Amino acid sequence: MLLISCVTQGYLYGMIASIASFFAVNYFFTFPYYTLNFSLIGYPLTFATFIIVSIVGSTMTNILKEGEKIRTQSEQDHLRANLLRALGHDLRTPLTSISGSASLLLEQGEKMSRQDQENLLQNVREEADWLMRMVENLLSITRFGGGAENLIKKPAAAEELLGEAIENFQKYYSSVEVNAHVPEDLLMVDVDAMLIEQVLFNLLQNAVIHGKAKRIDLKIQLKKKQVVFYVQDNGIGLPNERLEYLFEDKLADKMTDRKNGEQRHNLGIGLPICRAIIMAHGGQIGAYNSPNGGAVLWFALPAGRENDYND
Amino acid sequence: MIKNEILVVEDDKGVRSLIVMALRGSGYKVLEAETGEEAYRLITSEAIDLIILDLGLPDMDGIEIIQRVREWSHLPILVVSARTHEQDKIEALDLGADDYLTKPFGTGELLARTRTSLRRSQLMKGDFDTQQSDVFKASGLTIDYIRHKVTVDGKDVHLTQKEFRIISVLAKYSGRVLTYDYLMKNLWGPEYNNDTQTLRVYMAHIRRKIEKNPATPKYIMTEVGIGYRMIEED
Repeated sequence: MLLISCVTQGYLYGMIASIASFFAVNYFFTFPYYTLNFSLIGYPLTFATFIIVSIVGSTMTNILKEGEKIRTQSEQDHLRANLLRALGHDLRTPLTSISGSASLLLEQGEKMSRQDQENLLQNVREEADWLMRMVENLLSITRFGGGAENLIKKPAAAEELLGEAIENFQKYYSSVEVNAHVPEDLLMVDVDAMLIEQVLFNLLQNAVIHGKAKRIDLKIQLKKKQVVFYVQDNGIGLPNERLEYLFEDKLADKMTDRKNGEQRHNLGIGLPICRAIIMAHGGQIGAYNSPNGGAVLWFALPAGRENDYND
Repeated sequence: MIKNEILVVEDDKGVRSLIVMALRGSGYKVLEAETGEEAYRLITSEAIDLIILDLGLPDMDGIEIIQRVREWSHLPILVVSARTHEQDKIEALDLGADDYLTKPFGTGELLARTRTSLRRSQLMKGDFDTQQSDVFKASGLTIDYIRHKVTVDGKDVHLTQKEFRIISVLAKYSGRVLTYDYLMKNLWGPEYNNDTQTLRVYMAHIRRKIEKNPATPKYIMTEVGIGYRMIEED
């Protein structure tokens, strides 16, 4: 009865199960066996007990479920609030920089050397690119509203996802060496390609900005009906104390980043968004430090159906 | 030298002026339109060589313009749209647009796609004598259409019949994106079984045969969700 309570909504099914089992016990397990006999002494008490147990059981599981619903809702609100906060911080700074650079160029441009002018404009472009990435991250979330139900998945070739992500990434980070290793077999996954591209980009960018990597190796592998994507870098690795909370949005971490004078391009919302996207796809995501130095970030997605064709 | 005339249809003033400046800076003649109606009027009254069309116009769907124009012309159309609207892009391409640009795009990409689209239409307008040659060459890849031979950096590559078919059509439209839909129709006819899976498998095999690293292809690029694109001919 408890099982049924847990998996069903409301009180009714739990009660029915309870009553059904009551009759079943009577029918199967009490003398005279295999008959329904209610005349034994103590039966009304047994019956009453059954009813009470079922009411209490149903009620408890319902309360627990409501509690869970509230908790997930509050978790979502929490995530949203944190995102907005991060958004505020992270949008304002590059915008200030862009506005400042433009003003400076307008007011003093003619007095500046060509090199200085170019530096300012280069800065404007970099900050704008950064902003664009940030906006893409946020739009990613709206694409599926954070919930798995709204996700529109289509079959995609894992190696093609890698290829496009790398091409995109190298446009912004051309000095970083990126290698990709794919198996002989074509691995397919059912995904919202744009979102997975977003995840890959975030992980690659992370390796460069936080891991300070100069080289990144990407790999895909079929493991127990899952396609696993590995992003390994040759950077400084991940701080051990952060490993557990890497994909959670801890505001505290961001504050520490600022104190250390680290760039404001903090771990912020990038990794939690990766996690949200991967979870919505029914996958897993994780990270660990490689014994050879550097970090490995990975995520696994359920493998698509087998490929088979005749020429 | 006759300058090509390009019509830019974009309602956002900032984006429009950027495109117009980049094109004029490259020597093209440029006309502008803010709405679909304005655009259509210019298309039917001026000698336009290429249309750069934003899909998010205020008065009418960019798609509608493509349909109307395609009723009577093969005039190249380059569509511009936001990154997340891939469905719009696919629809536009399937209805006859030649290629697309995703906002935000750099000047380099704009000019490259413009050049490719104009070049292709020039080829089509020209005499049959100047039709495409029998051999396609691009960065080490050669495809001999007549002899059905493919080589990469001098080495022979054996492709199956279907694989050769795919690579040929991509080469024929080199520089331009071809949708999954287009490729499948080409392979299996209009009644194909709406399944991109098989096409991808063929592509995976082709890549393993011609690319140094199939994950980072040099010759055939993936436009995830949309289709494939072969690099431009040398």
